[in-house]
Amino acid sequence: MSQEGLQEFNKSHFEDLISIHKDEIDYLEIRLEQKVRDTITYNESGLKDMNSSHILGGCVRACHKGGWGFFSFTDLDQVKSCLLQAIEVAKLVGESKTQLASVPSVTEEVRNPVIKSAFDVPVDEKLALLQSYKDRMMSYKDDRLKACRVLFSQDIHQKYFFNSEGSSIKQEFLAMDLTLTAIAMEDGVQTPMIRVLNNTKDFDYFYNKEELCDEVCSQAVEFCSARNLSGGEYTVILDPIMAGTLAHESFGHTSEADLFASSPGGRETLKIGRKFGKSCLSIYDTGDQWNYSGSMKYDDEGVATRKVELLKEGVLAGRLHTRSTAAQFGEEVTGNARSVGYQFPPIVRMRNTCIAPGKQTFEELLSGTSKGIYCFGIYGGHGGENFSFIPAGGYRIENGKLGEPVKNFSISGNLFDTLETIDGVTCAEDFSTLAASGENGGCGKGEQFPLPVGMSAPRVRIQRIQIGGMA
Amino acid sequence: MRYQLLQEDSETIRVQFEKDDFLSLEGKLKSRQTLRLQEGQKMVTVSGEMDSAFDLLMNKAKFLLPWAASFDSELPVDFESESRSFKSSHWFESLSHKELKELGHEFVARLQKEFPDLATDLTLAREHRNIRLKSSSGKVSEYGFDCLSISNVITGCSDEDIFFWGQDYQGMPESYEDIEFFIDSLVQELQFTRSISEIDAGEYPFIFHPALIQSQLMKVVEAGFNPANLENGSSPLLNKEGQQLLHNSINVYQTSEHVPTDLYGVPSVKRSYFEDGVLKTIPVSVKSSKVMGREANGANYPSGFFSDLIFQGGDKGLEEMIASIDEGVLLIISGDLFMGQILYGDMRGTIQGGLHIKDGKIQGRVKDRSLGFNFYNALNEDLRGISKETRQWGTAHKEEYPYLLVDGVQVS
Repeated sequence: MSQEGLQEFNKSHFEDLISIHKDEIDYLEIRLEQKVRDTITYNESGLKDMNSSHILGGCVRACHKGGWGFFSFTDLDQVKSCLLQAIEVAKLVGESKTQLASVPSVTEEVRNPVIKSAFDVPVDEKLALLQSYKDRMMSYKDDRLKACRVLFSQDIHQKYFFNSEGSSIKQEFLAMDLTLTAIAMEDGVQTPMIRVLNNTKDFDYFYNKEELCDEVCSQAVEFCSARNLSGGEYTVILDPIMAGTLAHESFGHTSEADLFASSPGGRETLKIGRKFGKSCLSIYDTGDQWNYSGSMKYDDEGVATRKVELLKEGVLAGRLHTRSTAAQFGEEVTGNARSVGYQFPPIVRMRNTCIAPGKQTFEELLSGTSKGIYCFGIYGGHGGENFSFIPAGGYRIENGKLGEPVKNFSISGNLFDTLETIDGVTCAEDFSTLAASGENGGCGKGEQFPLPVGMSAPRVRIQRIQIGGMA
Repeated sequence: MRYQLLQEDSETIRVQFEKDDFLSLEGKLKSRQTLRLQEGQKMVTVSGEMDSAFDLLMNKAKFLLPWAASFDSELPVDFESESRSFKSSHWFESLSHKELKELGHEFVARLQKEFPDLATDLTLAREHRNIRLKSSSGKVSEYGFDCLSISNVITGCSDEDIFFWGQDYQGMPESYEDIEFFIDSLVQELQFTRSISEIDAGEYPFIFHPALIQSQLMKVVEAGFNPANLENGSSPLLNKEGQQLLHNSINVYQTSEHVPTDLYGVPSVKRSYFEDGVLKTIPVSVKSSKVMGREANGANYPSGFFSDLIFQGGDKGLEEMIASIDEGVLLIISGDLFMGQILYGDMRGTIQGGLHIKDGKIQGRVKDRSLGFNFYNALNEDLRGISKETRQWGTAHKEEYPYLLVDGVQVS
């Protein structure tokens, strides 16, 4: 057993199982997963919780004449019986033809490059660091700062994949997250502000964040007395977190091929080559950048992940696929088959969805906006053709300058109308990422939640959007 | 040292259809254990998913214990041992894999026949689940249940109109007729969605579907009951017992019919949360009882779920409610309404599945509109009616909600 508590599996046992049964059926795969996740939580009173979870399980997926059988288990002794049941069920239900886009078989072991893992840091040292951040926040020089939360999680995740086409892949990922939440209160109403830091390589990244503690406290206090915003139509500039979320929630989910795989109307509406926005707007989805939380070398069908241009200069350029949907559409695989865990078969999911940097600076976007709202951070949102998001807060823009802080408002709109009115995108220097994983949420689709994803973008300006306010 | 070991075992069979086509039959065997180990005033929680993992969990818990967080209360280990099981129906128990698949086929075929331009994603899941709490004193509190879940997403897409609909079922059907009743109500809703009906921005009465009360509106009450908000004093429900916070026709209570103890071993009892709109009690977990200076009351929240929560139905029929509206919306599906200042009742989001009512009749589907309202106003001075009709979800963790007719919802 490893220091983190991970077991080593005998790969040949699973390869042999597949080898014995592969001729009985069109396609067969085994996935195994283990994950060790430790969390430490402080609140304003001190250490609140220290939890650890160890997840270990697997699944077998079989396909025969287009029918799928899938069985998952948490006891490895059940792998053989689950394999036999999956084959039996696939044969029972298969009535047509198995269609999977062809991919090369792969034998590889992959591990994200690690400099210093949190699992190698003594518990005392981690507690001292987190306690110092909690103390720093609670000693903030304004008595409206009433509460805080400092949450650290370390997560080591190992996945094994074997299939009847000869693939044998082992992937291991380390993820570490620090979330700082400051809560200010005025007249009995609380205003929380959050900063999330994510790193996949080096625990030392989490040292020296005292200024960030001050910044999040300062923002919570500032917005504590901010005015509510009135509803209406506004020009808005979204910060990278809001812009990345819009790209993911609204455009990204619409790009998932399974959404309209069997709908002629859907295929026509989302036809490659159709223009959806101005030329300043390009959106892509990528899995091959290790420091993002949706990154992986191979997806859960053993397909190499690749960058997929979804919208290129305003024109629909691609969509996201599993092997099944790629075969249905007659398109190339993209490496977007993901499952939230071994209990589920893989479906089409995003990895890291990004708005490509444009050419303008933030100052240029601002100076070209006579009246509007600058929105930052996010409390929540949902997408699709009609989307709605609630920013953490905003500032009025007047005559090209940031002005009064405002809060308690939502932005909502129709995806297609909104894409048409995005007329400004800032440059690469303004590009940053929101990691949505673990304690900080993740992507949901059906019952598969939360899946770690990344959302990256520069700032974007939307000329007309509806704001729902409380004033 | 004292400990509690919470074990959850489940066996699920699921049939999936994607865009009208049969996709897969899935089986899931799952075993999950959570160990809480307490020594003095320190407690650590370790969880895992293997039958054989107890030693692994205990070793890890013992390793972490010296640094563990303070836990002022004593972990209950001497609760009364009790075992309850939820009665399954004969029809449900006798469903084979093949019959479950056929049930899915009938569901999809019915929707295909009625609405050939729409496509259905369907999941039927049959679950057997057992939850067991063991203590270091050898006590065992246990309950098991069966449940049939049906979830569906019905999509349509024409030029620039991407359309989604769906309703979920969770329960213990006695026969196919129970399922048929559910499909009938879904078909009836879908018939009203075939045309788009424009509604101007403004303030309107809304009828909220029971599914929205369960999944969205009750989040406000849950946020108010959240121990973190109670402990730091920001919950608007703190110290408000005995005060009229909601309309005097509102009664919300838990029956605890199926669950012997909460997930910390405190006995579950029948309890009113709101009686005639008056807040009667707030749930207090073992974990926060000392901080709050109150006895743990076995309400389970937020360890998992309310135990059998009932929002009592009223005296109006749904038809009567619809007929009473000059112009408004019957809201069946919305985007998440609880993303803003939910603690204080602020609810906002998109109307994803709303039917426009005019002159007492449903006109068609609302498109590209958002809504906003305050929960504490909506369920107090703005409440116009509670329906006789209610809907239930779940079996052992049953929840039941009516339709609510509310004035003054903002549409933008």
